[in-house]
This record gives sequence, C-alpha cells and structure tokens, in this order.
Amino acid sequence: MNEMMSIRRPGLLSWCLLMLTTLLTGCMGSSQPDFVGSKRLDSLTPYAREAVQAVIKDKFGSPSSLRCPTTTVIATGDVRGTVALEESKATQETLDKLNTTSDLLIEDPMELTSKSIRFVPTLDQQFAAIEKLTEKENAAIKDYLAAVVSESRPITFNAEKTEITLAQPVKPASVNESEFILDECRALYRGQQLYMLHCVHCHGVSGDGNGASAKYMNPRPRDYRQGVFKFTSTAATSKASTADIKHIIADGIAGTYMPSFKLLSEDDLTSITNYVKFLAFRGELENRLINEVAFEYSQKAYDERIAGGEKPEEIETLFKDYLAQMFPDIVSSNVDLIAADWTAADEADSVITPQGPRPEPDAKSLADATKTSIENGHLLFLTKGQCAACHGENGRGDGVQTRAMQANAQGDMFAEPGLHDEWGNLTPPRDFRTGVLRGGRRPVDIYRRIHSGIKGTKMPPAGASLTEEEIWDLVNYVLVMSNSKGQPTPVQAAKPTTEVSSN
Amino acid sequence: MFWPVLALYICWVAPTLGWGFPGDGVSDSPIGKRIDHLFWLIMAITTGVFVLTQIAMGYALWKASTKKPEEPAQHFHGSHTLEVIWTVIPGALLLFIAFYQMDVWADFRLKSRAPATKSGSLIAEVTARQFEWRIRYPVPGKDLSPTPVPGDMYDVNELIIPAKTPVMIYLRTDDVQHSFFLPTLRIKQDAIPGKVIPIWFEAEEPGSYPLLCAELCGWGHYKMGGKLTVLSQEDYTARMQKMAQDFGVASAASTPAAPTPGVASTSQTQEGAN
Ligand code: HEC
Ligand code: HEC
Ligand SMILES: [Cu+2]
Repeated sequence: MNEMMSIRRPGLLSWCLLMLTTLLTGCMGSSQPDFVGSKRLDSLTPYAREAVQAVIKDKFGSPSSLRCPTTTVIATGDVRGTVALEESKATQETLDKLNTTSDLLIEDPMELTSKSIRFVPTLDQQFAAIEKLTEKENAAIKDYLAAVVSESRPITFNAEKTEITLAQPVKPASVNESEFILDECRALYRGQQLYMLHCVHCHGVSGDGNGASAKYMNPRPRDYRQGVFKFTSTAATSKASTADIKHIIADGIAGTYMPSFKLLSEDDLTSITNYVKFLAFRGELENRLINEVAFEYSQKAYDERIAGGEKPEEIETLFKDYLAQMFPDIVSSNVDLIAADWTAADEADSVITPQGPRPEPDAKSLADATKTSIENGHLLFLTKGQCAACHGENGRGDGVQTRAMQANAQGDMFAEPGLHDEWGNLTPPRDFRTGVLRGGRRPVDIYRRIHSGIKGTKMPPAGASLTEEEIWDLVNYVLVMSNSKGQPTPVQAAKPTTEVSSN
Repeated sequence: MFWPVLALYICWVAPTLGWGFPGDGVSDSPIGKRIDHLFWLIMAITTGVFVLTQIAMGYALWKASTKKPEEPAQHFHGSHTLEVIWTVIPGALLLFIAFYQMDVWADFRLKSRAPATKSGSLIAEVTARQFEWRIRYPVPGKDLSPTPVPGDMYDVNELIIPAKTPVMIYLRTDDVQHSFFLPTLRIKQDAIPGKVIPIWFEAEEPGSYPLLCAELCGWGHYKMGGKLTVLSQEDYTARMQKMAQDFGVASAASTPAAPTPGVASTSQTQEGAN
C-alpha cells in the first residue's frame, strides 16, 4: 500500500505541472491576430507610417473588430427589419383580462387593435435570403419591443415567418412602423468567419497570401493586397469582377493548391467573396497611400531633404500641415478611385464576350480559309502571337524567355532566370501538355486568358493585336495541345516544322 | 448487471441514434439494399453463433465449478461426434454465406455482370486529386473517350447522374491513393495511381448525396468532400445540355450525324456569358 502511494505521488505532481504549463502556454499563445501592414511601410518616415496606419485602422478596423466599410463596393449586409402591424381587434374579453392582470387601465377597446408585429428582415440584395435570424438579431428585436411595447408582456417569435405575436394587443400608436437596422455588417462578419475557417491557413489573416501553410505551396496562395486577380473575365486593364472571384472560390484552380468550395451555399460564397474584396480594398488603399506619402516622406526622400539643407523640425511641421490639409482629400479620392475600378469591373460591358462562334478544331479557320482552325492556331502560336517565346514550340512552357534573366518593377534583377509575376514569384508559362488548365476549361475561359492576358503575370493580353477569329484558332490549338499529353498534335505530325525554324 | 444491461441497451438504440448506417439507414441504391441485406443476415448468423457459444461456454464453466472437490479428474480423448458437429455446422454456415453473397459480389465487382456496360451508360471520369474530385463528362449523347478529347466538359466536386439508370464511371487519381465513397449508396472504391477503375451503380431517387474520400490521403483529407447530384432523366438531359452550351460544344444529340472533318460544323452554340 505504501509502495503504491509513493509511486502515485510524483504522477499526480507531474500531472499538475503539465496542466500548469498548458494553461500558461495556452494563455501566452492566444494573442489576437491582427492585420499586418505592407512591408513597404518600413520605407516611410515613422510619422508618415503612423499616419497611413491610422487611416487604414480607422477605415477597416482589426480582425477582432472590423469596421463596416462605407463604400458601396463592399456589401456590409446590414440586416434591416421593417415593422408592420397586423390589425386584429381586441375583444372585450382580452380587455377585461388585461385590466385585471395589469395595472394599466384601458377603457376603450379601440385603443388596442394590434396583436402581432411582423418584422420583414431584408439584407443587401446580393444576399438572397436570411435563413434564420441570429441570436443577436433576435435580441435586437426584443430590445426594440422592450422600448416600444411594455417589457413585461410575453411574446412569441416565429423565426420562419419573422412574426411576433404579442400576448396582448398594443396601442398602434406606440409602434413605429418604419425600417430599422437589426444587425450591422452581418455579411461582412459572416464572410470573415468563413474566411477564418476555410482560407486563413493559406491566404493569411490579412489576405497577404502568407498563411501558416503557404510556404509549402507553388504557386503561392494569392496575396490580395494588390487588388490584382489572375483569372478574370474582364478586359486586360480592368479589375476582376465580383463574379470572377466567386467563380474561382467555387471552382478552385485546377493544378494548384487552391481548392474548390463548391459545397458552400450561395450566400456563403457571396459573403466570402465580399470579405476577399474587403481585404483587397484594404491592401490596395494602404499601397496607394504609401505611394502618396512616399513621394516626399519616405526615409529616402527625407534623407535627401536633410542633405539638401532642410531641418528635421521643418519637415515634420510640413508633414503636419500636409496631414491636416491635404491628406483627408487624398485618402477619400483614392478610396473613390479604387471603388470606381471595382464598380467598373462589375459592369456588363467590361466582360469580354466573343461575338462570333468558335469553329470546331478541325473545321476551316475563320481567320484564314486556306487552313483548318488548329493549323492556323499553330501558325499563330509560333509566329504572330509570339506565344512560343514563352510557352515553347511544343507548348511545354519552355520557351526562350524562361531562360532569360528578368527585372522586377523597380528594375532590380531577380536571382533566378525566368518569368516572375507581380508578387515576385517565379511563374513559368503554362505547360499545355500536362493537360491542366488553371483558368477554366471552357473555350471561352481560354479565349479570355488569351484576349486579356493573365493579370499580374507576364502572360500578355493579345486582344489588341489579334482578331477574334485568330484568338479562336489559338484557343483550339491550346485545347488540342492540352488534350494530347506529350504527343505532338496532328498538325505537327503532318507538317514539317518550317515555321519553327524561321523563329 | 449494470454494464451488460447498458451494453445491450446501447446496441439496441444505436441504429435509432444514427450510429448505424449512414443517412436514414436505408440504402439509396439497389445494390446497396442487397449489401445491407447481407449485412443483416451475417449479423443474425454471428449473433446466433455468439449467443449459443456463450451459453455452451457458460454451461461448461458452471458444470466444472459445481463438481465436488473430492471427485477425481477424468482423462478422455475427446468426443468424435461433438467434433464433427462443431466442424460441420460452422463449415456449412460459412459455405452458405460464401455462396449466398457471391451473386451480390459479382454484380458489384465483375465487369461482365455490370448492367451499365452498354453504350451511353459510361457517363463520366472522376479524377481524385489532393483534395478534390475533378470530373470529366463527354459531350451529351456520346460515350466517354478513354483519354481527354476537345469537347469534353469539366466540373469539380459535383458528379451529376440520372436517376433510376445504371451508370458507370471511370475512377482515376492524379496523385496519391484516394477512395471514392458514396456512403448512402454503399459504394466504395479505392482510386489507385496508374489505374483506371470502372465503378457502376444506380441511384433510385433524385436528390443530393454525399461523396467522400475514404482513404487518408493527406492533410486536407477531411475536406475532400463532394456531392452526387441525382436528377430525373429530363432534368439530367437539360443540365447536360446547359453544360454543353456553356462549354460551346455541339451535343451529339442535337446534330444528326457526326460532323465530317474539314467541314465547318453548323451547330455552334453561343458561349456562356460567364
Ligand atoms: C490550400 C491552400 C488554399 C486554401 C485553403 C485557399 N486557397 Fe485560395 N489560393 C491558393 C493558391 C495556391 C492560389 C494561387 C493559384 C495561382 O496563382 O494560380 C489561390 C488563389 C486564390 C484566389 C485568386 C484567384 C485569381 O484569379 O487570382 C482567390 C480569390 C482565392 N484563392 C480565394 C480563396 C478563398 C476565398 C479561400 C477560402 C474559402 C481560399 N482561397 C482557400 C490556395 C488556397
Ligand atoms: C511573355 C511570356 C508569354 C507570352 C508571350 C505568352 N504567354 Fe501565355 N502564359 C504565360 C505565363 C507566365 C502564364 C502562366 C500565368 C500564371 O498562371 O501564373 C501563361 C498562361 C497562359 C494560358 C493559361 C492557361 C491556363 O492554365 O488557364 C494560356 C491559355 C496561354 N498562356 C496562352 C498563350 C497564348 C495563346 C499566347 C500567344 C498569343 C501566349 N500565351 C503568350 C506567359 C506568356
Ligand atoms: Cu482523398
């Protein structure tokens, strides 16, 4: 017995110690995630950096308390309730009962005519339906009732019909038949919730593409903060449309780690899309503001000004003036510019829609009647379209450009040869022979890739240099290549490669 | 007494708590119903055998423990009759099960028994990849080509099939081993790298059924879910036609004859707007 006790005691002790450590480390580990700012903030003078950060924080809040944005581009999804009274006469019986059970004395039955209040909740038009009111919203209704109707009266609430039946009739005059907000920013919060559940480990809390598992991925998860998205249906110079982002979230990107979220409900997809836009907006505004202030208040400009004879205090005073007088306008005009871009991308006429039909791959080309469509596509691929320079003569993604050194936007050379995207990652031209097309497999998807290019990457838009018929031939050629893994296409087999050597 | 009673009670209520079969407990495919029948049959047989052997064992224990201590132990060379009995009865049971299930097994696994080998029933190729199901359909009215051809239609995580018709799919994987699992239809088949595996099944009612991966395939295995959408024949045709339109491919059903190569095809559908 004694022996057993002596074995047990240290066990108990270490158990306690274990609990203590988990408790402590648990507490230390649970710091609130925050939006991380762009690395470029570091290039600013400390006060300029603070000014930009303050604006961003003020406009977008932090992950634990989002600010409902005021721009129309991002749907907040406020839930509004409209109050409607259903008339139903109080009978003498209820009146008597009422007068015996409560201390307010009502003589005229006409004074009390309504027995139910209907709330007609409405969301932003984008969000089709409210499945169910949340606890928060129910509480808002209760609060509302408490304010307009006497608190003591029990009510039943039918969430399906969003109808509140009062135990006793109320005076119609006491109910304000108007619209009021039940819940602010519901869709944005819902989007954030879903994003934190499904996307954050890849795309990161701030949408910087730097989630916990991101470093193991190639291509890297998208960094939304440039506001640039690759696979769009819009013109080369336009942003992605909301539908494009939603479509990518639903269908994923084949051949990459971006998974399909098709099983989420339509409303959930809309909410996530909205949140992605929120993060993109936040990042883009931050970037634009950095550009604005960097002109005169980057550390570099500051050092130059000091070298030019200006005093630190002078510069700081100048900045304070700038901050007070010009900066607010600069901020709001940048917000408007970004919003205008998003709005324009959603307009129907910014979507690239081919006017004519696509010929079958082995039917006559509409651009050159002496050839079949794939023959002409092949020719264009090697010559006029200059696709082979990147994609290689056989479409294997091994063109000469993949071996050349390239410079980034600032003019600095990348360490390794090959094409890089706007985010600084190596993005090889697509190898069509793998049979995987990332931007979608419908001919119209490929058409749009070729017409508008792939935004943020070196894949150039050909819409201006090639006619629609020529693009269709290229589409067919790309389709045929991606359906013949490794094998040369029928055209190549049939034709000696004369055009190839001329390149 | 408490524990045995609790155990029995839990066994009894488990099916009603949804701890038994997936879904409502009734399979949504004919072969699934037959598999369930086998399950219950084997359950009954094994329960019977279990109970009888426990009783026999209990009897032996009781008999031995009630022997008086002064009674001498006996040495005997076994009972031939008993041994024959406990060999023949289980043997017969096992043979019965073996023969009885053979038909279901053959219908489930032997391609020659597949009701769906006729033209038109091979409706899709499902390719598993970490962590989703990529699906390739042929042009409506045509058979699926074993390798991708221009004109194929693609989708992800949603397999669409017609109701009340035996259908066949080809199962492949792009990377590691996965397993195509339709729990409510009782269909499960591993996807093995380098192999194209045919599976056939029939869904009885239109509706949406879960499609899961049943082989631990990596960190995202838990979310490798999709759905099987079963549509009535008309809805199915309409849906496929719509997809064909979206993909700008001429459906074979709407063109009288296969287009002759070199002649401009007349059946150009308008591209999907989005
Ligand atoms: C397993 C990692 C992973 C998860 C989880 C993930 N993504 Fe992605 N996502 C990626 C990768 C990788 C890319 C980049 C693919 C490329 O560049 O071709 C990407 C790209 C994107 C894009 C850019 C598309 C374009 O046209 O440029 C959007 C938008 C996106 N993801 C949204 C989401 C949303 C929303 C979620 C959560 C519902 C999510 N992603 C979950 C990895 C992931
Ligand atoms: C300057 C180099 C360059 C040239 C020239 C170029 N491409 Fe690309 N292309 C790329 C890169 C890089 C990508 C991959 C971008 C990404 O997804 O990150 C790409 C991707 C594509 C895709 C996308 C396929 C998919 O997965 O959805 C198509 C289609 C394509 N190119 C066709 C063409 C055609 C046709 C031409 C000639 C008109 C052409 N490209 C010229 C660099 C180039
Ligand atoms: Cu899997």
